[in-house]
Amino acid sequence: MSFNSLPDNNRLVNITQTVIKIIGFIAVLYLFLLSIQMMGVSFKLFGKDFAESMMTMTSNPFVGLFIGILATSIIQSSSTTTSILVGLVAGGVIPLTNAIPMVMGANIGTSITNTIVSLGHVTKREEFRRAFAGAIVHDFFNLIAVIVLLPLELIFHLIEKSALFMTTLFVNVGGFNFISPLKIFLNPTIDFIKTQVPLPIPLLIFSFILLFLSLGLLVKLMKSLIIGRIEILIDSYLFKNIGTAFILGIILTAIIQSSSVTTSLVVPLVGAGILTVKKIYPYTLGANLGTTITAILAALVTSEAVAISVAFSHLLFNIFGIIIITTVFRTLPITLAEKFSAICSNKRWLALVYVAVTFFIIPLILITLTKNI
Amino acid sequence: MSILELFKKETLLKQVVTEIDQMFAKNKQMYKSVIEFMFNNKPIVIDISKEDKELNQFEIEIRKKVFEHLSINPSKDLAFSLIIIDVARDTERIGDYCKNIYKLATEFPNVKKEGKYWAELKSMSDYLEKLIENIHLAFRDANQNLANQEIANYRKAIYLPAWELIKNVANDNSLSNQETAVLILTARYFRRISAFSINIATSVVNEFPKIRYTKDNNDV
Repeated sequence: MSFNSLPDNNRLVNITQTVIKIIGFIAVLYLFLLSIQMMGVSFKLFGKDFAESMMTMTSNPFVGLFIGILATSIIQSSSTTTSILVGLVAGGVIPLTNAIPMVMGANIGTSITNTIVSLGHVTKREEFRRAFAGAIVHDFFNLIAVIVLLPLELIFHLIEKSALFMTTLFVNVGGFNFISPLKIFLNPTIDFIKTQVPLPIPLLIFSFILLFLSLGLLVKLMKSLIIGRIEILIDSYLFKNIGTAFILGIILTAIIQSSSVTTSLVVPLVGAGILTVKKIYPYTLGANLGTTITAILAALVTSEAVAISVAFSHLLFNIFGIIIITTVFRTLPITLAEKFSAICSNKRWLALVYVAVTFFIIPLILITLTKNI
Repeated sequence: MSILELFKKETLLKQVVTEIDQMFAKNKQMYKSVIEFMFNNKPIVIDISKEDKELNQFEIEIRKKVFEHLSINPSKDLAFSLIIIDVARDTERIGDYCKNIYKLATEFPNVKKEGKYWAELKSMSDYLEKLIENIHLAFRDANQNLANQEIANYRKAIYLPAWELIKNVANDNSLSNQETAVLILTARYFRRISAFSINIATSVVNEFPKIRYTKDNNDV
């Protein structure tokens, strides 16, 4: 073993692999956009009765919130949940008002992944205390954001109105135009699939499968393309200052399209004491913003103004959350995370109970209790 | 932050490799300076304590970077990552023993470096200087022949003679307590420096689990 043993010696193989991955990325992105389009089409095929029953089911904002938490906790991807919501809204199945609490729930649900990653440090008390705090700071930020913003949304429709305003601006400047060429490639495939699968249920199942597979592959491909190169960025920018950590969180997550992946990456570094909760907090907030890119991408292809409003709602919820929490509550998520983690490091079973209760038991109970209200 | 940075070839392990190279360079410079000071009373131009602290800092930095690398790319360059941590520790320890030799020379300046024992130690120190240089070259160039050559020679060249010298000095009643202590400790420090150097040589020729062991599974 020596200096020369360090890989990178076979440039041709590396370049070939990168080119194959980029081609794969374009193909998978196409399938992802296709799945969103297909979902919208299949929802429209379901007809009025289906839409009405979905609207009734999701009209209670708390049910919507907990559906968002539960669904995202199970699939561990807020990008998937929000993309499905984009499809549902674009297909006219649920209105924007009903989708917003679900978007909020998706934000909470996605923070389960790094919390699970932190449980891997459970055998070493101090390491676990740091890692768990590093993970749940994300949970606490999202929980506080929902506690503050959901009532505001219910009373003033703050996010909905802002999202609709942003959508008007976006449509007026011709925002959908630049995606139009892509539709030239998408529409023939959609038309072909519609002739082959004219029934809404098989078409919906097919579009769901395609969405899950393509988004999963998209994240995997981007991760493998980028991951080897980001360690220098993490080393240089996460340690530097709040601003660079925040921007790094946005950019990395927007590229990889998964805040679960990017926030989980830093958990072992916090566990080892290389990074502190304070240092990764702005990076986590950036990841929350970066992950909204997927829904925006999905909404663009639908060409439905209301669909882009869902994606903007996701973005605005995070922007408002960051502004309110950093100015009013300041370091509250960090303090709460560190204190709760200190308790859990002494009673480690409590960490498991926390995950089960927050992400599964409370949402399930409340969905059951409130579904008829 | 430029998005182009994502496509630069720089990696943390490449930075670590550069830092290990700097650690080797420091080892050579420290060793040469303290030996010149001890045997020839040549004034030391570098601050040994500062150099030692810099080596400590390099080791901490290398551990941090390797940990970051393995957190982000768990399966990539795993063996190299683990080996480089061992090599960083060995080079840091060589720095520690250079500092110890320097302390010995400054604490007991009145001990004259004359007579057969000091002649033997001088010959060992010349061998060590070459050994440190060769280990650096062997590691940098993955030169297995050079590494094997040093592994084959070190017992005869320094390990056994140093132990022989320690025994002889301990039984020599003509020496003062100070002379005995300085001679034994110097021989001991030389043995340690050779052992750390040979540890690095084994990382060039052995697979990861067998680092720090010779071919017949003996300790270095």
